[in-house]
Amino acid sequence: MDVHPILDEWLEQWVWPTPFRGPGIDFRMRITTERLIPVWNRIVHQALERAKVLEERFNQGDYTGALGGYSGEGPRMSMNQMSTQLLSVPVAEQEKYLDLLRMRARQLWDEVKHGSLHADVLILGGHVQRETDLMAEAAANFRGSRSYFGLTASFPHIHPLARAAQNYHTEAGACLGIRCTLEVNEHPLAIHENLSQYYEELMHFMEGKYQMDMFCLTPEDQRPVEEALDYLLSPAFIESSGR
Amino acid sequence: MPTLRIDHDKCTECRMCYVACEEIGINAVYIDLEPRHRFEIDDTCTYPGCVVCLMYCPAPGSIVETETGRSLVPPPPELWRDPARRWPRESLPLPPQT
Amino acid sequence: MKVYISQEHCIACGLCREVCPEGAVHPKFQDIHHWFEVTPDACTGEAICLEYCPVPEALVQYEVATPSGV
Repeated sequence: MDVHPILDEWLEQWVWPTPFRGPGIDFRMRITTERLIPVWNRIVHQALERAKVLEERFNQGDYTGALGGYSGEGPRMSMNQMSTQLLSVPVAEQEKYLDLLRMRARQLWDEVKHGSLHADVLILGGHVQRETDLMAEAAANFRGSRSYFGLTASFPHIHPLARAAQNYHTEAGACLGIRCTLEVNEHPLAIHENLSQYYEELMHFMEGKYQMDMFCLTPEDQRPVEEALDYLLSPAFIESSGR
Repeated sequence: MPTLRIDHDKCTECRMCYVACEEIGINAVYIDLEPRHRFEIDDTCTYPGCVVCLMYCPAPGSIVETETGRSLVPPPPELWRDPARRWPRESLPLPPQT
Repeated sequence: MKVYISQEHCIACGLCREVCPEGAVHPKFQDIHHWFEVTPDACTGEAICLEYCPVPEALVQYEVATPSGV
């Protein structure tokens, strides 16, 4: 399998660098090489194709993507996804996962920002005059993907480390997708919509990397990650999520 | 003078450096109160002996080697490729800085 | 009078963006941070934002220079 140069560079910058040896890192390296790189490679190839479509849409004043982004991110995403996770760690375990909970709070902030960015595209692109106009538009308030909200809320009640699989794998996909978009797109609104999102998705990825390196030290700790990946890498999920 | 410095133009304040440094017991990253809640590194930082924050920082250019000004994010290969360079997490305290 | 955001002080809470009746506050264009900025042309100087901003020095009012001879 030929690893795309964009993926190769990304692995070198963000995935391979480790601060120490240890079982958590060995575990992460194993699942990355065995299970994830083939999927990430496919994502890069797909994303490069999609980026061209997105650029064409921007050039034609078609803001379907921004409408979908607005309905998917922002306060809606924050409240559904993040608060579910914040509430899912048992009180007795809160101290152990405290900083991970703070990262969830941080992601609330990120997702609201992403909503603002999509709103910006819609306003600056002339689709609406004011953000409140979007309240009357179905496409700005509806998310068709069945799994979208359920999936992201479904892991934490299993085990806090199940979220690590999502942080690591799903956010890697998001990072690579945005990286490819930024590689291809020259439209200023496309860059505006995506630039800070890239940094923020990379932040969530790092959370997953960190959780695995530091906490996935025993087979018992690693199992929730493997099982979450079983779901995220299943054909049914990949098809429903469009990746 | 701390051996590492945070470049606030590049830092996105994700707090990963703070979290990682605290986890390994060094606690060299703190949150300044004025003018904003920005992250800073103090001189309990043991870089180049320790490179943990550099491995989890997602903001290119945001952590800088004070002496040379060079960016350490993404981390240069010489800081992580050599297995002999990395210390086992299990054995704390850290080895003496070379 | 109009309002601008002092990036040195702003904590990017987003409240000004929410309360501005003109929608004059936007994420800072093509920026990697969470920062916001005011679009000067859209700002009508009502300064409702000032009533909600939690950081005293973050929102700054300024006089708009009027062209002379007009």
